[in-house]
Amino acid sequence: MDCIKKKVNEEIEKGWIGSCTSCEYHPCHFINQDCTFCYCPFYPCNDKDLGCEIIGRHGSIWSCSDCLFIHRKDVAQFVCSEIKKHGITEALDPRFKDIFAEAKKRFYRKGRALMVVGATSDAGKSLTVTALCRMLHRKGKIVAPFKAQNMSLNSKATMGGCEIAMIQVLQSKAAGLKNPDQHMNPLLLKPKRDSMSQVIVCGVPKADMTASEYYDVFLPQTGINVVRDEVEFLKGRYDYVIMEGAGSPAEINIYDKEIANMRAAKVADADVLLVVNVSFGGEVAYAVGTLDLIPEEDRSRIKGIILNNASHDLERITLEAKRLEEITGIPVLGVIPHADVTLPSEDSESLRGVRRKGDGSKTVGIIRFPRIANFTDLDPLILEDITIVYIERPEDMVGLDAIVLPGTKNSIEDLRWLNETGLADAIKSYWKKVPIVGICGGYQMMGKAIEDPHGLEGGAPCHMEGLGFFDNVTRFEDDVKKICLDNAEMLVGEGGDVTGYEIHVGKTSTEEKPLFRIRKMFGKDEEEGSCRPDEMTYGTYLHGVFDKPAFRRRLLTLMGCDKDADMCQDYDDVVERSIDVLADTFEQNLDVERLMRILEVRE
Amino acid sequence: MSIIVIGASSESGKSTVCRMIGHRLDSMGKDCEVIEVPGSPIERLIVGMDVPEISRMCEGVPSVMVADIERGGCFAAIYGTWKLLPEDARSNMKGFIINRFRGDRSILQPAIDIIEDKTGLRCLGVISYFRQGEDHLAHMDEVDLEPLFG
Repeated sequence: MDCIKKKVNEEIEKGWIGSCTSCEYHPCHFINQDCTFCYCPFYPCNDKDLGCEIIGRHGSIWSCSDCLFIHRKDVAQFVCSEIKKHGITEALDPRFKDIFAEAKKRFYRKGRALMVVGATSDAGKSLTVTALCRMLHRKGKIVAPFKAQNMSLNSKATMGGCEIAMIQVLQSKAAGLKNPDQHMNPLLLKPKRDSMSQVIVCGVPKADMTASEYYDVFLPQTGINVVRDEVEFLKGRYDYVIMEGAGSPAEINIYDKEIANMRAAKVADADVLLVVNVSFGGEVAYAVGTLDLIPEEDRSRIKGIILNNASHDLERITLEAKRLEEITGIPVLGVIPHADVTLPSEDSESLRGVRRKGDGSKTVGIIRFPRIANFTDLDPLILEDITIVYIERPEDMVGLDAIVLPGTKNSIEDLRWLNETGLADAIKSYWKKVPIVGICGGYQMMGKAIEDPHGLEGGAPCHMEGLGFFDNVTRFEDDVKKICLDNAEMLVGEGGDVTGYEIHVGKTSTEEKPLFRIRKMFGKDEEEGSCRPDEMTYGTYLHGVFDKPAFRRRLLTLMGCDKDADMCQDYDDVVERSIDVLADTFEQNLDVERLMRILEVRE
Repeated sequence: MSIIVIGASSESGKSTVCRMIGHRLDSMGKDCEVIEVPGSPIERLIVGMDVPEISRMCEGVPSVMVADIERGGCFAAIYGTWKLLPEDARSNMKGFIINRFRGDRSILQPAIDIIEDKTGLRCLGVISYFRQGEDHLAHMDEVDLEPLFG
């Protein structure tokens, strides 16, 4: 406490400083945050809207690590002017209580929720949410994305060691937030086998459930309350919570059971926008049918329609929009032209059997495991002169310049699949001839064995022989390793920086040459991954390993594209620019004034 | 006679369904021409463009609607399309076919019942998902055309 007191005294002396971009931790919460009170002069305010009691090592303490109130510019400026007015010079001055009460009265408002639903899958919901987050962030608003329930195999570890869907991570980037967290995606379903999913609740794996266990038991008893609590939490901290629906909100066979769409809007008291993808055709029929099939009490939440992804006949679609308004009585907020952007892939891509991506001169074969996971790892490859081919059978392995074994939800079962399909032998025939990269589960398979003594992956205890490219053994114990961000240095080729995140069970013991050195902020650096540069064989646990140019450049060089290797861009920068292009496209084609009215006015 | 096949979206897979309907009619010994309505007719109709097939539907040619369920929103597409058709065209529409379905059919039934109830149309079939290039004739049994002649 003395340390905090000293810091607050310094802050009082310094006065208002605004956003401190020179600080090495900036922005610790969100871009444009006010840094005047890095340490809060109101601590502990004991206000339930802003924090809560937690049990720490020394008993109960006040925790407000999620609170953004003091980092609002208007609040910080007000507090500074009050400090001056009252001539306060010391932390713990009793008058801070009154200043806090007044600041809260003036500036604290519960946030508003807006939900984006789509007439179909791939309607452009997630991109619309991304664009709205960036647009509101540009207006200086503090915004959080939210998706009640996400079915995804692409997840990411958060700073707090939780697991959420990749798309909410992207959306929080669009919102200018530093640390996406589990509140933004309280229910994450990771499909395992045909009708089973691993259910992750507030970032923590809860259980494997069948569809009926999930819909009939879990959702009504627990799920709906989780969604309500998490939306409330975010509304208490952000100006806006921009929610994303799932699939269509008008699936009338499960309307009363599902909670990802209008039920979530209801518990969040959110207004709703309906997005329709024009490129599928039938956009007016989809919009009219969706609105008509939603019961009246929920339909009244729908305040606007967006016709998305229009690439031709813009004039006709504008006419359609007008007719659609007349028919439904709901304003069409805009016709959004197709925006050519590079953003992480959507899950549906893999589920819908996309076989190739990109049109480069070199071909990288991605082993399309039945339980493939975190395939967003491969997105940066599209930036290069590369074509990605998804491989499901030995016959697909034609003319490959490199092979990637990506992550999987189940290494044991997918290794078995690799053997049964004959792909294991096919991959071995390419070994030492082209570069082979294994990531996470794929890396585990490249060792000489995988041991699962407790049957965590295979159901029954088992020992399986791997592909044998490395002299490694992976052993599954009952602990998940989750690391939000590794900063690493590549130890082969020209070296260079690499970043990544880790989510895996299983530990790999290796005598091989390490691929990376992970720099630890505290403690000793760690070696990571395996490589045999002479055999062009590489393996790592780092998801996102291709995001920074270094390792991608290595792969390009090995494939003989030296020239292109020099031009590699940082994927994060490309994504950041894409978010801006997307937000620009929405800003230019959306009736922003009308949208803002929907966001402000409660009817 | 003729039958008009109209899609609830432009990518409903109606060309394949038209071929299936053609085969099915042949096997039933019906001499019947299958006419596919191109593109996304409702959108053209509501901005005042001429859609000759819809005019023929109004004149009494029976029709069937095809909707893609893979993307979701299939029931909305069926209902929206039906609602936006002229009254005369609706009264000559015989039913709808759900295309590209995966999973357990029984979960669809409540929705099919609602749509049948709201529109008076019959569900003539649920065609399971199959890959492009796969033999569509293997799925012929999934469509029942008897109601067209009932």
